[in-house]
Amino acid sequence: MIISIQHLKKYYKVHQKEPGFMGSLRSLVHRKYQTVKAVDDISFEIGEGELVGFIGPNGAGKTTTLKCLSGLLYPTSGLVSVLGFTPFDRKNAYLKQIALVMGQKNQLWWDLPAQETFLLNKEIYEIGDDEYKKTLQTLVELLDVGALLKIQVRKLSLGERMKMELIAALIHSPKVLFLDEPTIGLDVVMQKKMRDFIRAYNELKESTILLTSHYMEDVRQLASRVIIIDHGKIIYDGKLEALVKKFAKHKVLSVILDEYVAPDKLKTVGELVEYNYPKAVIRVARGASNVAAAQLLEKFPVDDLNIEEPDIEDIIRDVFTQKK
Amino acid sequence: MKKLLKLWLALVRINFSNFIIYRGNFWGTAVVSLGWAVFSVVSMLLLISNVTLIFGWTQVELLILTGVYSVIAGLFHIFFTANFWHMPRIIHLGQLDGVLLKPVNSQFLLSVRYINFPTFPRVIAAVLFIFYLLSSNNIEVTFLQWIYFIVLSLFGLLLFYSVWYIFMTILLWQSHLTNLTDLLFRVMDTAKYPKEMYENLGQYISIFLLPFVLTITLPTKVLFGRASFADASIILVVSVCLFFFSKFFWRYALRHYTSASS
Amino acid sequence: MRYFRIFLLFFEHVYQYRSRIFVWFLVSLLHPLIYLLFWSGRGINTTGIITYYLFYIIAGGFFVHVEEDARPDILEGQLSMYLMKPFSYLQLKFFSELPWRMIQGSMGFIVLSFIAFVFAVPIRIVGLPHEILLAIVIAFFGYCVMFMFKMIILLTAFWTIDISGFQQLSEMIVVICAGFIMPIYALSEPVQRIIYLTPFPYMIYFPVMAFMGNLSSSDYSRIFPVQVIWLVLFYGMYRTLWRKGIRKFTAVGI
Repeated sequence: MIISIQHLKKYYKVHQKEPGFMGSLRSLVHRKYQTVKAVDDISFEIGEGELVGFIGPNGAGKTTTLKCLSGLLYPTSGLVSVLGFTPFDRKNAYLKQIALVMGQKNQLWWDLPAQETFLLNKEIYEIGDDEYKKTLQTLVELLDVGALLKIQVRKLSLGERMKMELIAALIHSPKVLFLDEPTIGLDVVMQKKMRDFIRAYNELKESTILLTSHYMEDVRQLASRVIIIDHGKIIYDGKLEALVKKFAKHKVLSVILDEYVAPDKLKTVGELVEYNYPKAVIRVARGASNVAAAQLLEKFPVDDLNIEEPDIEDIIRDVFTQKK
Repeated sequence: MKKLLKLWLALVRINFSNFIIYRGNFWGTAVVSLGWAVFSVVSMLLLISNVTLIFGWTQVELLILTGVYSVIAGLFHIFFTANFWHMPRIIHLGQLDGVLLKPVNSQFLLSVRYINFPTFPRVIAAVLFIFYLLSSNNIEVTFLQWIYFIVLSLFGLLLFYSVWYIFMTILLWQSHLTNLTDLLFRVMDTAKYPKEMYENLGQYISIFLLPFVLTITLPTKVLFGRASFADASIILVVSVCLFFFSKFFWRYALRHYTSASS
Repeated sequence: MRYFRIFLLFFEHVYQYRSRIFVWFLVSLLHPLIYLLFWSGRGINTTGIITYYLFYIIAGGFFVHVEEDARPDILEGQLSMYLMKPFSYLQLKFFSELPWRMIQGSMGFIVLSFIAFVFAVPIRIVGLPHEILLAIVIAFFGYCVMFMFKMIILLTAFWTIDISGFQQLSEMIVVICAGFIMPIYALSEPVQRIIYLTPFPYMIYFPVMAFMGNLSSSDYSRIFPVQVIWLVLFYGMYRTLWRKGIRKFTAVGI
């Protein structure tokens, strides 16, 4: 196993301050501390070459976990091991093999072409000349930025800059890649390009990728395995399809009607979620879906009928609300 | 060691490329740094007007002291100041993570990443100023004295650097104290004056200030042939000790550092 | 009434940053003490010179730094936020700067009192109420002149790229001509005359002289009008620069 986390806990002590002037004075005398349990006993293992999605709502503990894995945070307790190293030691040999890509933290020198920054990283990561050339070419082709290498970074568009940042972050061909919210703040087109890139990179380099997101689409497109985290605890760890089967209590019948049918009549079959004649969407309990389908076909003038899984967002939302 | 040197040369290269791009800004910065050199000479002239001997130093010697200060402070500004200017912001804005993730000693990277080329004219002007004063007052300096001078200046630089880095480390706990850099610049200014000036301040203060204040005084005294071995050994020992302490303190502080939340 | 509330708000905001203020206080403490030390090397330890530099510690606290806002406001475009408010930029800057100055000035005042009473160092200071009042008035005018000057420096950021360079150069001149390094009365005649032509002694040097009781009534009648003239002049320059600068700023847009 490349990545191994056992009973990881990360607690913070945060002090409470009341607003206003009186609050400031009061905090001089007596400080109230509260323990925030960012990560509360999680364990999982990831094998080489896996692409795992780490999802959860904001504040669930995803970023904290990633930071513990990359050595930026010191765990309160528990064991973390990546590539056989203890991340927190931050040994150079370890850092040369991982990459953490987080948001818009820029490392490109603003007034110089991106290539200058790549060359600097080449020195920092002690990459050999041949290896550097090969990796650069691969990344440039994957991201299609060949023409932009010699242009000053500040003259590039936001999307182009992001691609350059990615190359700078990956020029050392890390074996393990931690991506924190890679598609946040991007437009739809860029999001797709980012996902395509991640997928291609994973296949090409056979690197292990752990990505966090609160966008379902990221997960659906990329990860076959998902780990769901909420309030610092893991709620689910396994295949996406299994998640759907386990937690989706309902199925969705999508119907196209030939003739108009009164909504009340449709409601006898199941929960009428949406009705825009000729289209109707009906929710039924999972086990009853076949019976309901038969009922529909029998009683009503149906032109077309589809039995579908509910949206992943809905499933996940159900999972979270269940846990409360 | 070799790796760090190679990396440092790569940094020099990239800083130089950056500097070339901002050619226009070069003149602005160069003029200002020369302005500071002139300012320190003018201030000294104001202070020593109508006095022939003060703290055992003649007017000429004090002016040379000012020149030496410009050289050493100038070198500090070229290689370190920009980095110390960035550090509070990097820490305060949570960008320290990017540095910590690199397979290089973080202290090294944070200390030498940026090089300020436009300050070179100031250093050159100060060196010329020193030569001018030395020759026009017939002060002879042997080759050995120059070597001694350079060595002591370098250790003085090491001392300045270490003190700065130690204070910057405090920022890991109190990240909003970004004006600590301004304070430290002022404290560096105390070295502009002869060490004898501080001897009246009572034992405790002068011992505390001594290494700092010696950094400029001592190399200057070398030029007049008045440097003592005792003083020299103080600088050597203190600067090396402070340097190692800065490394230790930084590592200690990093363990307690929690990165700013995303 | 709303001005007072804004002032209170800024005050509370500033209170949060008390450790920063303490650091700045230490900054203003350092140089006057160094110059004082230098004077002791000349063998001069008079009440006058000690008082002078101690007052300059307080003056350092009142040293306006508003031009540093040029970077976030003009260069980085935060000026737009100020333009949306129903107050003039000048007013907002004035009221945001004042709490900082008062807090730092009072720190200097505390040090002065400490040294005067605890160390029993003799301080030369005016005693009569009407003298104190006059000194306060001249100090207030001096502060306003300095503030307007710094605001003009701030506005030059509309046209210069190298903001900090220009600011540093102006700082050097102010420090010398406002009497921080050397009391102006101790300089040679021709130099004194040149310095009195500049606005800088009127910002800080004369207020300090006033508090030290070195000004006669004829001096006052000479100094006040000059302060007012500089104030009016600077205000006029500010309005002109503001009009031109704003046009440039909003044309480019940030």
